[in-house]
Amino acid sequence: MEESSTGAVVPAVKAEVRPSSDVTALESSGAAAKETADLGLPELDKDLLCPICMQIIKDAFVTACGHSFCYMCIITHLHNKNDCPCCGHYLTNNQLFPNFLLDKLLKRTSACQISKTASPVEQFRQSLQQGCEVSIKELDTLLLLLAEKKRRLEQEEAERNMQILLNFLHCLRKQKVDELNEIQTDLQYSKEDINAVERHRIELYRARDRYSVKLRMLADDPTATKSGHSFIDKNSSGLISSSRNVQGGMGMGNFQYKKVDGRSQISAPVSQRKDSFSGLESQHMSQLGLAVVRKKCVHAQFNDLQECYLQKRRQLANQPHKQEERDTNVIHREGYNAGLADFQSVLTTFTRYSRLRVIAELRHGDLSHSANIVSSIEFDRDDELFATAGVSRCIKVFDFSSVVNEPANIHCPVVEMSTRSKLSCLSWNKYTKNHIASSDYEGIVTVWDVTTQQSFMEYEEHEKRAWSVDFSRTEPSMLVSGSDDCKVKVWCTNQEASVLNIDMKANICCVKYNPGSSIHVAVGSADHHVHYYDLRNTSQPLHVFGGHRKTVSYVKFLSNNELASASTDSTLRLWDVRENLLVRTFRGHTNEKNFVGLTVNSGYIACGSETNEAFVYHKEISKPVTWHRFGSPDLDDAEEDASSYFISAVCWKSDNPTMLAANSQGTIKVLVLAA
Amino acid sequence: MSSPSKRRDMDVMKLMMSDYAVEPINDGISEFNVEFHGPKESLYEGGVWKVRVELPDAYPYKSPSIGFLNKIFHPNVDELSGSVCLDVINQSWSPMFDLLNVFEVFLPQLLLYPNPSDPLNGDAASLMMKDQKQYEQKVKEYCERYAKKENITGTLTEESDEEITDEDISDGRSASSDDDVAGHADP
Repeated sequence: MEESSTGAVVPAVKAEVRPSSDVTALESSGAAAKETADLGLPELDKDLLCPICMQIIKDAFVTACGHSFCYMCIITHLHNKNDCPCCGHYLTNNQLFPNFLLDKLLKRTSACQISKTASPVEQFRQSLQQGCEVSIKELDTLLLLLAEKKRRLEQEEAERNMQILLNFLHCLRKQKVDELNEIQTDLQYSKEDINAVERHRIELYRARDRYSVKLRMLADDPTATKSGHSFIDKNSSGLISSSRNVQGGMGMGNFQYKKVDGRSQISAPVSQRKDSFSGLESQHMSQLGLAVVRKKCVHAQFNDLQECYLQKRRQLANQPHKQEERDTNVIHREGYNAGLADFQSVLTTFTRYSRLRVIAELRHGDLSHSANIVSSIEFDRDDELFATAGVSRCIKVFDFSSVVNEPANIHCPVVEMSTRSKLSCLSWNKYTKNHIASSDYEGIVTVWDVTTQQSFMEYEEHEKRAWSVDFSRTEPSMLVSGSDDCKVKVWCTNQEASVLNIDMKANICCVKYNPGSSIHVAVGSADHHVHYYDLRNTSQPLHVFGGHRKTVSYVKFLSNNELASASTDSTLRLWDVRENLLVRTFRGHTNEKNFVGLTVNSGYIACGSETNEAFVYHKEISKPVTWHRFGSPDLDDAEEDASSYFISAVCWKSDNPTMLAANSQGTIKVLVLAA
Repeated sequence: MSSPSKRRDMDVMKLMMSDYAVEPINDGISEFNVEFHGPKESLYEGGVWKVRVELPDAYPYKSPSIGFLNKIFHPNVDELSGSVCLDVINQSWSPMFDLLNVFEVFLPQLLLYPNPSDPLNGDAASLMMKDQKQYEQKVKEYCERYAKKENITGTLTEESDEEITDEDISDGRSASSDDDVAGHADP
C-alpha cells in the first residue's frame, strides 16, 4: 500500500474493486447517502463501517477495549494519539488484535454487494474474465449483436452532430438577414433624408436668388452711394455666381445643411472669377474655415452622431401612434422627417461650438493661503450675481458684469460673509433674490440674506458633515439637504425643525429638487445609486437608478424629466426619470476621488476633471464637445505638479453658453463656448 | 482513491445536507465558511457568526482549525483573528468525530463552558473569573454589535468600498489632512 507523505502519516488504502459505486460516489452530491444506497446496505450495516474512514472495515483489528477498525486507520491514529477513537481508553499498538472472523464476514458481504449492484454487462464481463463457459456459436452471435449496437450508436451520434451544425447555421443566417434588413432600413432613411435636404437646399437657393435680384434692383437706384453700390454689386454677383453653381455645390452657407452622412458639400470655390472681390473672398474664407472646423468636429464624433441619428430616425419610425406628431411628421417645417429635424438641431448645437474661451479670471483667496478649494459656485436667480464658497470659510458674492467688464486682475466681491466652518455647497433661493443657503462641514445648513450679510436661519440637525443643499424652484421656502450621517432632511424657511427626514443606508453626497415639482427630489449616495423620491411617501424611493460604479457625487436636472449624475467612476450619466432608464453615459474626463463639480443647462452638461480641465458635453453625445485646461498662471506654481490640481466647481449661466469654473487652487474663470 | 479525502468529502456533504449554510472558499474542499448560531441558553444565544473551517491534510486524524470571522468575546477565542485555541479542540478531538459533531456538540460546548485555563483572550478569561456579571454583559454587547445577520451577509468589499470613498471625497475637498489641522488652528 502506498502512503502519501504529507504531514502525519496518512494511509493511502487501495480502493476496493467496486468501480460502479466508487465512480458514482465521487460524481454525485450527497455521496454519503448514495454510498450506502449504492452498496445496497440496509440500516444495520452502518455497523460494518470503520468509524475513521467510514467505509467497510478492511483488515479488521479489534482493540483491547473492544472496538474494531481498519488496520491502517487505527495504526495511523495511534501515531498521533494513544487512545481509542471510540471510547478514549488508553491504547497502544500492542493492544491491537486481528479479528479474523469479522474480516471473513466482511469480505463475504462486500463480495455479495459487488455482484448485487453490478450491472448485467459488468457481471458478464467479470464472469468472462473469470473464465466462464461460452461456445463459439454463442460468441459469434454476441459479436454480431455488439457490432450492430456499435453501428447504431455511431449513427445516432453523427445525426446529433449534424443537427447541431444545422441549427447553428440557421441561426447564423437568420442573424445576418436581420442585420442586413436593419442596414437596408438605415440606408433607406439616409436616402430619404438626403432627398429632403437637397430639396430644401434648392428652395433656399431660389429664395436667395430672389433676394439678390431685389438687391440688384436697389443697386440700380442712382441715389445709392458709390461704395455701397459697388459693395452690393460684389455681393450680388458673388451670390449669383454661387447660385449658378448649385450643382457644383459651393460651400458658402452650406455648412448647416451638411449631408447627414458627414460628407460635406464644401469644395474650393469652383468659379475662379477674375473679379472675386476681396471682401467676398475673406467672407468665403472665414466661412470655409468655420466649415472645416465643424467638419472635423463631426468626424471626430462620427460614431456617436451616427448612433444619435439612427436612434432618432428609428424611434419615430417605430412609433406610428405618437400623438399629433405623426400627422405633421412628413410635412415638417423644412420638409424634414421629425427624426431628421431632431437630429439637425443636435448636429447644429453640437458643431456650433468647438472650444471654450476665457473672458475673465479672478483669484479666490490670498496667494499665501494654501487652502483655497472652491466647493461651490452658483449664479443667483437672475444670473446677475454669483457666489463662491469653499474651505476658506467665506461666502463671497461677485457682480458678474463687473467681473467680466473690468480689466482689473483682483476683483472685489460685493459681499463677503465669514462662516464658522468649511462650506461644501451653496444654493440661491429661486424666488427671493437675496437669499442663499449653505451647507457646511459641521452639518449645519444656513440661510443667509446677502443684503444684510447676516444669517437668519440655522438648521443644526445633521450629525455629520453636510455635503449638499438645494432650494426648491417651485416652492421657494423649501430646501433639502444631504449629509454624511446618511440622512436627507427637508426644511422650511419659516420653521426651525426639519419638515421631513429620510434615513438612508449610506452617506448622501448630493440632493436636488426636480425643477418642475416641489415633491420630487433626487439623492445621490455613496451606495453608487441615485435615489429618486416622492416626498409624500419616503418609505421607499420611486426609483433607484443603478449603474455607477462608485459614489454618486452630484445630481442635477436638465429638465423635468432629464437627470444628470456624476460619480467618481469618471463617468456622467443621463437618466430619464419618467421612463426610469439610463439614457446615456458620458466619458472623457477623469474623476476618481474628488468632488469636481457638475452643472447642466437644457442642452449641455459641464463638469470638472482631476486633470485640471473643465469639460463640456452635449447631452446627446457621449464624448466631450470641448474642454479647457486651467494653466498655472503664477511662476511659483509652475514648478509644482500641476496635475495635483483639479476643477472643483462649475456653473452655467442658465441657457447661455457662458459658464463659471473654479479649481482647487482658488482660480475662477469665466468661460464661453465659442466656434 | 484514498479514504481520507473520501472521508473529507463525505463529512462536508453531510454538513451541507443537515441545513448548515456552507460557503466554500476557492472551490476547494479544505476551507469553507459556515453560518453558526449561538447555542440556546448560553450567553451567546441569538448571535450569528461566520465560522471558517480549515481541514488539514491529516484530517480526520488531526482536528480541523476553527476561526470566527466576525468578532466574539470568549476566553478561548483570539479577539483579533477569531481563531479558536487549537489545544482545546485537539484535546477533545477523535477521528470518529465529524464536522457535524463540531457544530452541534463541540462549539456549543465550548461556548457554554469556556476553558479559562488555556485562554487566547486574556481579558475575557480574567473578566470571567473576576466579575461574572460584567463578563456576561460584555459578551452580550459583542453579540449585539458584531454578531448580527447583517454583519455576515454581503461581501466584505462593499463595506470597505463605502469607507474608502467617503475618505477619498473628504480628502479631496479639504485638500489634505495637513490642511485640516491647519484649518483647525485658525480661530
